[in-house]
Amino acid sequence: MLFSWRMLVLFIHVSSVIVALGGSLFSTFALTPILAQELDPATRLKVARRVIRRLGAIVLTALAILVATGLLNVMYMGGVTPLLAIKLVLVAIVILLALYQYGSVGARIWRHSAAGPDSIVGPLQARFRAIGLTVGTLVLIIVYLSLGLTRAGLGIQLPDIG
Amino acid sequence: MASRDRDRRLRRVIRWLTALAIVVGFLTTMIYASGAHLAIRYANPEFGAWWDTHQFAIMEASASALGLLIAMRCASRLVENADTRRRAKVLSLLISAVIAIPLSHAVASIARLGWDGDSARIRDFLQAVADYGVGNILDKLVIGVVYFLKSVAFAALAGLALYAIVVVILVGIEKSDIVPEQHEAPLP
Repeated sequence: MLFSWRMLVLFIHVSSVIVALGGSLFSTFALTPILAQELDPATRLKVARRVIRRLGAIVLTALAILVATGLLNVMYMGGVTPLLAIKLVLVAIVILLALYQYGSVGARIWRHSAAGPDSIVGPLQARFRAIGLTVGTLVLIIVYLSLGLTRAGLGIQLPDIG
Repeated sequence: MASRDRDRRLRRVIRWLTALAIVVGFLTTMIYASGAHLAIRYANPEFGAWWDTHQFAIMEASASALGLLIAMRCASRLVENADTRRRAKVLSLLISAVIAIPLSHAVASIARLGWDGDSARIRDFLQAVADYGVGNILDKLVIGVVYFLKSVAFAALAGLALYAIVVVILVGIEKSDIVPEQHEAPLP
């Protein structure tokens, strides 16, 4: 069947992962190095602080959608396995880290860079990047665990009623 | 100074609500799991009948509220700006009050999903350690407590998602400090 509610929920769930992970990876590995090479420090900071704010909104929204659709997926799966429990704990850690990244470190970068380059901004940006990489790694682990749940037969074994 | 007072009041309200959710959740879980509603029914048949009908909903609502409050308290520590943090707490509290009941239905059905067949082993162990009758009661209590904790955990996950959305909304509507020249020029 091409359409079912379960498919739609799964589609939104996977899309959220792509948006959250893809946005972070693009910012870390593509945008930031190019900004460092092409722009002078003042302009780079101006662009970077706006990217941080906008990316924060995108990543946090994607993570929230991920949780909502994830809970629906659990209902569709019809069981909670130890692997799924580990995955859910990792999801909670990812959201907390993302909130810290954008709500605390990102907000401080935004505030301190309002008047132009500041000596405190450099270390904050390094911490922002480190947390971003940690979040990205954890999301990749979550994706791997999801594959274990759905493809490697480590999820719930539903009886064949067909 | 005024904002600090508001912060303190809000923290007190959230602490009070958390304590209320814990007490109500603990009592309803214990009564529900041990079958003590029969005693209430014996003492006051009318109230006992009402309690029997609603005790599960009360247990689930308190578990959902507790999960949402725990998530809010943990997540709010990670927001740096005091004003944003206070507004996020207020908005989260309001939204939580609206979604607590519908969320409790969803959380109840998710928490009902089983782990595996180990529950029989736990029952056997409790019956071996205690008497058969006491073991049965203990087993029901364990099931009730695990169910309550699972509900709290799933609600906390939903609460984290809610807080993330609230932070996005608040940061989005915060006054931007971008100077007007940076905006695109208006069309003639």
